[in-house]
Amino acid sequence: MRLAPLGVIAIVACAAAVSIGAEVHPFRPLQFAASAILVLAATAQRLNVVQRWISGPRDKRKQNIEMLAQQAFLDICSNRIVTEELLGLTIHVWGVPVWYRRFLPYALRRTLKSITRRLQPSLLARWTIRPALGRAAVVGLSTKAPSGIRFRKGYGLIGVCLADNDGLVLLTLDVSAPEYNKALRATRHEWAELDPVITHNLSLADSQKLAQSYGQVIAKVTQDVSSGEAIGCVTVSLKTSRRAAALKLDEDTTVRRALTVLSHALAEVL
Amino acid sequence: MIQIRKMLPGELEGRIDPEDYGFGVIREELPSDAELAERVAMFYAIAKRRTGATIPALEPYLDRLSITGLPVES
Repeated sequence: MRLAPLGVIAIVACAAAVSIGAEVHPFRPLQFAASAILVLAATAQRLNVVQRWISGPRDKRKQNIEMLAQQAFLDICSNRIVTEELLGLTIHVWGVPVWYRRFLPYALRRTLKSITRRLQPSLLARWTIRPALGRAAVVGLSTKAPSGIRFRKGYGLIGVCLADNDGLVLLTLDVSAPEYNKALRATRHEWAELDPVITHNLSLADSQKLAQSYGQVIAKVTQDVSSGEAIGCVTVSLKTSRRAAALKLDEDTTVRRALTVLSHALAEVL
Repeated sequence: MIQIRKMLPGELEGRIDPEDYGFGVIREELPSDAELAERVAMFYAIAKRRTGATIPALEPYLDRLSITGLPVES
């Protein structure tokens, strides 16, 4: 059935070739090719299947992820009064790029890792490829433009959540911690000297950006159902800090439950 | 897009402690596989009813709702 449009296109192309070929004397390949392409393009555009393809959603996968994230957002927001605090609630879905997972399958990466483990203490053994994670969806009552921060495995809350790959835990971050706020005023050199407990393994510039946008964040890894590979990370964040907020993400059972269900549903889609 | 970066301490051995990076850890008691699948089914069924869109990969979960059925719309 899917080959039908291609068959029709082929027939039309042959018909065009015959009709054009009969009219063009002597035969000029360039003119013939130009006419054939014009006829082909006009015919292809008329086909329903092609029209549906052109006007349809660009990325069905992305649309599905957004649909699930929206549902989780509705679950969290239902039976709550819309306050300024709730306007700052956002759900983000981050995914490991599909091309990376196809190009370097998890089984291969695990084998390489076990070989590398045996190669210790080789200097090269501690380095690895880190693709930037894709922001698959962002849902909120008032969403902002992307921060431009390129999260990777091991970088920040999302990156550590992926590297940890523990499906039984939720990771939390409270940006309002006094030592963190003090550290944000450090110079780049001072920041580089600080312990990852303070820096969350982020650069100073990225930390400052995130601190302006988020007060508390809770994250959960999404694991592939068959291999257990960490394929993504879901976060629920609130602009209001934990201390000032009525909604404490780490204590709220609705938030935790929605996050868990969303991460499991996304395992089939990401 | 791609960078070559140093692994986190303990990553190669599969021992990463998020608390070493200043994150809080909440250990969850996950429900049984059957219960979790039912929650996912309910979650997807409501999303499907709301949007009218279907996700083929999640359709098999809906079989679990044949007994309990969808929650009544409020």
